[in-house]
Amino acid sequence: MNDKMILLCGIPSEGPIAKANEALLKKGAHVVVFNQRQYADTQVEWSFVNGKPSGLLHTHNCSYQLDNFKSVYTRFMSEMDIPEVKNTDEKNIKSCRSLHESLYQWLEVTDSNVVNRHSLMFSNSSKPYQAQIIRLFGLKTPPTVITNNPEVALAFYNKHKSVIYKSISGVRSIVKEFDPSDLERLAKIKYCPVQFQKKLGGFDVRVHVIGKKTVATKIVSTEVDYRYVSKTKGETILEPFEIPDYVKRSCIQINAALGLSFTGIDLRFTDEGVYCFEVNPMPGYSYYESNTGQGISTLLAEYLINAE
Amino acid sequence: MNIILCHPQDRDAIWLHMELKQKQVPVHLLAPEQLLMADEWTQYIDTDSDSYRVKTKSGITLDNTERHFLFNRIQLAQSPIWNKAEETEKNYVQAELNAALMSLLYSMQRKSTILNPVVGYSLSGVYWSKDQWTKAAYEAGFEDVAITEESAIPYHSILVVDDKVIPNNTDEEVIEQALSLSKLAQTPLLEITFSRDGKQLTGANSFPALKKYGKELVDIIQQKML
Repeated sequence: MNDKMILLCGIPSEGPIAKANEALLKKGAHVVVFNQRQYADTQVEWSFVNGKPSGLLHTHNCSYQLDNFKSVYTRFMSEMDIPEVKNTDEKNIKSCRSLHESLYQWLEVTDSNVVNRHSLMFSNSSKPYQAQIIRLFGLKTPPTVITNNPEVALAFYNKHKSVIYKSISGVRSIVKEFDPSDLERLAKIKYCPVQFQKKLGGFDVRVHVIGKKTVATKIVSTEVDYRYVSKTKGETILEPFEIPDYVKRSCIQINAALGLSFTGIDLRFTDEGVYCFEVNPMPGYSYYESNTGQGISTLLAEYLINAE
Repeated sequence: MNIILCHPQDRDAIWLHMELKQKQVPVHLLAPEQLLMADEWTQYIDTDSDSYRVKTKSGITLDNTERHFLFNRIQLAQSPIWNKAEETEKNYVQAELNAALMSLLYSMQRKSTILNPVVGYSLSGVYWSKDQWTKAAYEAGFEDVAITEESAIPYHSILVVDDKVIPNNTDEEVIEQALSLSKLAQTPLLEITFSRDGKQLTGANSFPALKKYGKELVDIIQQKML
């Protein structure tokens, strides 16, 4: 057995998988890729043997003992979005689903080091739920109200003067500034609670946590939500950033508390302290690495190779 | 305040409510729709504190100044007023309501007792695959595990309710293993099923039928609500 055998799951050309693969190969790891687009040439078969999951992955005319994978890095695309699945018949769709289901289940129960297990990646499906966990670890939480009461929303605005609103769930939404004069829209919140947050000054920092290591990137943007500058013709600059030790510790603790080993944590540095907005359990780190040259993929590769 | 949170069609939860009422236990039956269409739903969160206040149209008020016992059977947050919305909008609202409810219940469970608690992706206890249950069952000490599909009829079942197991004459070793499985699953209300001879674990379920556990279950819940 090659003690550096690593399984990558996803689309090999996608940025984070491609960079991880490159970094692993540079370190001499034996990398096996489960390419979702080649699902038709791949099989997974496993079962419990003496209480432990055991089986084989067949792909590219080779077979691998699943137990021999020291680590697995997953970035699955939804099966139905795979181009080869979109234009195929029902039988192939069923076979693709069945293959993925078998692999997902193995990933949940294997003793291999999985970055990250799916069952642990859902805490950001409710941002305020996640915020209540995050704040236990020494980072500030922006003053937030979730309400269906327009009067409460207006009182919150009057207290904080500058307020944004955003989705409560993990569904991506563009963060926008609240306009208290838009009373017609405000009245609609009685049908579904909305999350309002004090608009903070300062600047954004994305911290990637890999096990017990961190890489921080400062983000300076002309927009409230830097992820959407291309739509607004704004500008965003990314640069390496040094964070204080206590912030590093907090980020590492949050990562561990959520049961995750690789996360992207969104912080805001302000004059009043460091606030945490969200923990992303499947960070698209290649965007930050490409813009700053920071070696996130190298740290990820080291983590996958050296995992206990 | 004692609350049974359940969907309107949850006959077992309604049975439990009636049994407790007959014993003069002060308990409210509350549907997720009543929460989601509440006259007021407000939750504040910041660095040092959090608070909530929900006032339903029927006048029930939940707030963080009071400790609650919640018997939580909510599986899905759906508000009927969005039923006729366009599909994309309906899905978005569904995700938002689910997320809001998860946050509220998490805030409540940190100060109250809740069976079953939210666990990040589920509003009440875990929903594991048979493989996840199999792994956990072995870790809990069960030696013979063959989890079958949900539709299979269990021959014998026990119910973990926090730190107790029904029936109370269950073998001590099984009690220990059942409690261990319940802890591993972070699911204090957990039904475990076995083969006819009682030796093989065949299933685990965080949303059990209740009525068959009868008086023993009612007595335990009554104790918790007092």
